[in-house]
Amino acid sequence: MMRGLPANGAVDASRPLSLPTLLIRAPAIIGRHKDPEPPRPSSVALEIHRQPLRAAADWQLQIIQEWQGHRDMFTFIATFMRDTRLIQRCVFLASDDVDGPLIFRYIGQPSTLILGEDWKAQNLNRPHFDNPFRALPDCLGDEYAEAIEGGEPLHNLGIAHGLKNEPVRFTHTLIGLQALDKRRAVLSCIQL
Amino acid sequence: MRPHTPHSLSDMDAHLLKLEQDLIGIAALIDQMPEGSAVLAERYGLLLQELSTIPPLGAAGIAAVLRTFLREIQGNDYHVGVFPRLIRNAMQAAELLAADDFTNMVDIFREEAVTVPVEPPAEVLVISAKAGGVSVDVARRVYTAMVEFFAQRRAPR
Repeated sequence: MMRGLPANGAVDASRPLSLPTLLIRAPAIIGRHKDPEPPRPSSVALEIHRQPLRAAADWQLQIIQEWQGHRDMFTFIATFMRDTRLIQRCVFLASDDVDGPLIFRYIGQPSTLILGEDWKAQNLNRPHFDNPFRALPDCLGDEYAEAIEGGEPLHNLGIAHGLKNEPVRFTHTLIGLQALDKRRAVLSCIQL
Repeated sequence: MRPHTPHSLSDMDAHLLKLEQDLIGIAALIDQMPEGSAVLAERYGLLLQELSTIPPLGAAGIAAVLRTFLREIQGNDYHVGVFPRLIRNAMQAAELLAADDFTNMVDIFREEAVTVPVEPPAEVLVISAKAGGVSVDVARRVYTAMVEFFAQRRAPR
């Protein structure tokens, strides 16, 4: 099974994960690319605990139900999210092609509340990893991959340490979507 | 994106629907004749061949191809040769529609991600007033009307 790619070196597969520290940093030699951002001193760590779907909030369950009734009817799901405004509680990522990374295409209020408007502006339309503004460790990539490949919704309790003074607790319901041509997408429904 | 074709989507599918109706009409005529009709049977075969060479573009076209396929396999006089082509045409068209569906979904999310401030910054008003050759006040009213339009469109239905 394909897992999320570790960025910038090894990410320990055990949990909780912390941001990997860069040991070697080389300036980019190829012209247009800027040198990588210096790693911010950070002790951000993310704990992920799998939960049964029944632990999901009502609105998260509502989305699961809608998805189960309209599997692979992609436009229908998107229209449902938009028209109910539940879209505002979600993050949506999609790959442009089969092998491409998942790219942030919609960032809703929960993420903005925790990570800030600047983070949203920096991340919208950028890959969720391989991105200097990445705020959370890459274990989310593993969860996204599992939701896509498993074909069933996942529900997790997440606890992020180091973003605020207090640990930030959230749950997310992940719905993985895959086109016939193997383009991938994830809808992450986030409850703070 | 769809490959460019000389015909519009509805033209191709309308032609498929027309051929399907012609086939049904000829089959009914043949059924009324106790001895059948070689001329009509030949005409039927030609039209069926033609139908099988037209790739459907939309759901209506796919449905016409599949209905034709169903009638053929239920009939006594098998035109087995066209079966694979009918099925392949319908399948490929359905796959294209499915790919469009995924792209549509991504586009809806992307469109929702675009946000503009309710109160435009003064600089934006000056630039747009100049571009439109109107006063700053008119530019403000135009901006407000547009934002309100989209805000209403996005309100829950």
